[in-house]
Amino acid sequence: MEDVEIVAAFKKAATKEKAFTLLVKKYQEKLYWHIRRLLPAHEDANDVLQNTFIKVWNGLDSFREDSRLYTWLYRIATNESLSFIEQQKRKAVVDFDQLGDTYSNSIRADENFDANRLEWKLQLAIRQLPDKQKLVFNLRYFDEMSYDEMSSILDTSTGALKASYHHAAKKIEEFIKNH
Amino acid sequence: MNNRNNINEELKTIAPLLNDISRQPVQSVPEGYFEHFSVQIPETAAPVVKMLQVRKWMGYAAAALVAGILVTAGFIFTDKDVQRFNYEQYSRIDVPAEMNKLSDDELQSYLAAATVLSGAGHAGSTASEEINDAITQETASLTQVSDESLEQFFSEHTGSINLK
Repeated sequence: MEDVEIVAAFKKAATKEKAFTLLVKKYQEKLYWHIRRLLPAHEDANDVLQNTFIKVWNGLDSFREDSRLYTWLYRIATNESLSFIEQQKRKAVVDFDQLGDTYSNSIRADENFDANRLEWKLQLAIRQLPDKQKLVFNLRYFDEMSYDEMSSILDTSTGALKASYHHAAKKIEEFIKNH
Repeated sequence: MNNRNNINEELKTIAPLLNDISRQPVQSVPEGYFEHFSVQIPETAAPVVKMLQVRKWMGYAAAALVAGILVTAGFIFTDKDVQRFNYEQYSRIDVPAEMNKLSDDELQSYLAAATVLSGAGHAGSTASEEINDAITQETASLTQVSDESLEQFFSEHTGSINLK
């Protein structure tokens, strides 16, 4: 089912729940991994994914079809993830720098972790980036978004996004070569 | 796919190593997570604000009711004491008839007591006259005391006083 059809079905009381279930099935995995790349712990990613879909349920009636559903969903998931990270930073238990270490430790604590595999080195390298650069890199590298799509999610000019992505990619390559 | 090609081309110039890495997720996820994933939609919240308005109004009404009961009860109970002092009852008393019932002794003893309390009455029997008599006697006895004795008394008790 196309996104436009899902949105139309959601706006009718009789098909609202069915349309929502279809939407969840279609996007749950993509959104989960988008969130998980920002929050390494599965439990945190699951909580944020739940909140994201609750926001979608509450806001889809007023969704304007001049933007794409796909980018709208990513925008909500991104904002929810960043809010979660901000909450974590505000908690007195860990400060900002310690939070980065905590996230890196949760990557190493994963049962599949293998320090020699490039995929895991890549995860550790991404963890070293500032939040904004991390987001830009993930959306482009993993979700294969165009700069225009990223611009509508992050409210940033395509030129700034391109610069940010290039910086991030170079830093990551450097990190992998040195570890 | 077009995007993918563009991204790969772009990476060739800035970070070619990244083109050799699989983009498949490597982190572990609980088994069957995506198959069993469901969203817990909370039920629509009750109109809390309206409920609070009703409760606030009810609070004021209850307070007014309690205050009303207290004020009314106060009037009722204090009024009873006032009514117990029945002026009509006293207006119906026939004073001359009641006086005739009293004996002469009772009347005399009442008058004696009333005179002492008021400070007036028969000669030689009031308290004020008794006090006046006592002062007169003391003054007369003082005239018989010599000036020297008085001066000595005062100098002993208040310092030197010249009576002349």
